[in-house]
Amino acid sequence: MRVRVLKFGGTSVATPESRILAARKVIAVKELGISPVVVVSAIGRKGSPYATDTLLGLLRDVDPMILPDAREVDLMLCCGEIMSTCIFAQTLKSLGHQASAMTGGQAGLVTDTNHGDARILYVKPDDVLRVLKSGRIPVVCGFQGRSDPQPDAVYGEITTLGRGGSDTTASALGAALGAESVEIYTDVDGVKTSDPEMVPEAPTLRKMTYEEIAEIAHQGAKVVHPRAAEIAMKFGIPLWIKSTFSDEPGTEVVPKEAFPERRVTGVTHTGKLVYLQFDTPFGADKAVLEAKVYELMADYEVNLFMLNSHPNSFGFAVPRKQLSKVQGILDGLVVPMIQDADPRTYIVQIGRRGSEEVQAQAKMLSKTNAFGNIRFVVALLIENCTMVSVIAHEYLQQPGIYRRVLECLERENIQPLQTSDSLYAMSILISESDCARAVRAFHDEFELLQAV
Amino acid sequence: MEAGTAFETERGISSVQVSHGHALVVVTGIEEAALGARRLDAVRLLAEAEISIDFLKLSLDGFSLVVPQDKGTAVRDLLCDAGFDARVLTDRAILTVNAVNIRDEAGMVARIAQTVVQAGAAIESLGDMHSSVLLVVDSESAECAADGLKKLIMNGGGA
Repeated sequence: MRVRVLKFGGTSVATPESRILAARKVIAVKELGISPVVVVSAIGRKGSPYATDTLLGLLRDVDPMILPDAREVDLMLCCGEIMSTCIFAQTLKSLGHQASAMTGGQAGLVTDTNHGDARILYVKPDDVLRVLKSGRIPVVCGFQGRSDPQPDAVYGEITTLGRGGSDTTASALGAALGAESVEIYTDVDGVKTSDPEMVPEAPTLRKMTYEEIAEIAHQGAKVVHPRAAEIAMKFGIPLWIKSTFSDEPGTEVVPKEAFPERRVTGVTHTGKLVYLQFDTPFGADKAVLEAKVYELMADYEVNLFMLNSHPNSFGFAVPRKQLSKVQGILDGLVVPMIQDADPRTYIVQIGRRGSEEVQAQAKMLSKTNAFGNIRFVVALLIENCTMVSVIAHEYLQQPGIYRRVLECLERENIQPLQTSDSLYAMSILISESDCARAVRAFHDEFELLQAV
Repeated sequence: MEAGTAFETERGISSVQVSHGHALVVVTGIEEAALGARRLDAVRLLAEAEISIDFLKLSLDGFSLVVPQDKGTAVRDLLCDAGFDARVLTDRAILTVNAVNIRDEAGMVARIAQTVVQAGAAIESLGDMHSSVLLVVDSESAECAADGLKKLIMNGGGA
């Protein structure tokens, strides 16, 4: 049996009109003699009445002081996809095609017990095959599965897969069913070389490797989740990104071996960041201070970008939405070093001017000799930053790439605040107000209008 | 072999590799007003010499970069001849810490950095990509840092 998995995201199932368009894509596959398996997300995006965030809000609003159990959060969130599958199955029926809505668990997706971010252990798609053999179209809830029963329980628990969950469901089902392809339908024609809002003429890439798609997602362009790409790569299932709203061919995700040329793939930008530069003492004290700051950032789950370290300073960028948390953690932080002959204590100060918190700490500590000499570690803030990245495959290691990037910024009179590079990307931290110009300049410099 | 199921790689750090044979070139002493222009002069110079550079990091009075060990001295000399205050730190290693979907794991980069610093290695540069974090440290402390990270893997990979 030839099987094709088609996954539709929230915007593709948001309205009766979009659901009809999506359903027609499914029917077109069936009319080719291929058995379609449909995976759907919850209806609409953030703010929509049945979207995942809305459902979560309903639960949290019961009493904001009491955190709901992860188990109940998963049960609540699953409702969005269940409603969506039932409505989509009914849409197919209204167009003359029999369909059966199925939960992730019914479709055989078995996960670990990590509620909210479960990993798929295995897929047992017997019931999906049974539905297919009966001539009906299975419509499966994305983003969810079920765990194996615990030793003292009869049934497993409903789990959700976390970020990229519906894409991951589609890839996993495709792998388990030996599908000829997995098609991820969204509201864009495929993966563009850049954000069309900044480069309206940015072309759609016809082919990308799994690694490129993972990197482009890592650097801010979330078209398909890397988890889905990883599964497709592992099982050799062709993965496509297409639009529900057009008949454009979309982007095919292929193994690296199928597309080995060295090339630049795209230019991305990553949100709103704030850069913190800590001026520290040299030597052992710096290591202690640095480790303490990293430990707190890890404990409080702060995402760090563009980390760098010099003999008397270190720095990193954090998402602006996490800045108040970071300030709350670090401003006024006391790090005593009182074990040796020269007892001293550092107080971390965020920004040039010490806050009341910092002043209060200094006043309190100076009242006793126990903390020794009081010193300050000042972290300068550079606000309103963003990170622009050039995504490239086996390209950035060539001599002269940094020259091209820095010359390009100089022509645009854009000041680079920090840089970072890896095997797949070169990222530049710049002022947010320069973002669109930088994206367009890099897009031109690396001739991405010609990208295919 | 990465830890994980038949379908998905386990969250968190899955493996660590150490690659020796790198040199860190550090340039300091550039006046603030000339920083941008002088950095550009330097990368032009290195491009003309057909030298590939990695881990370019900007500092308040200069920059640092990583080149293969056998090119370290030549790069330093090239930069010094052009009026830069450059020095080369040989015997640098690159730690490659493999961890999938790092951006989804809040705090993961910080946990890796904390582990490396607590193991006694000074992080001289850091870069990340979808599947790994790359850190430049001195070769002597690289193995200690790798051991610290392997202990982190045994305790759940920091996820």
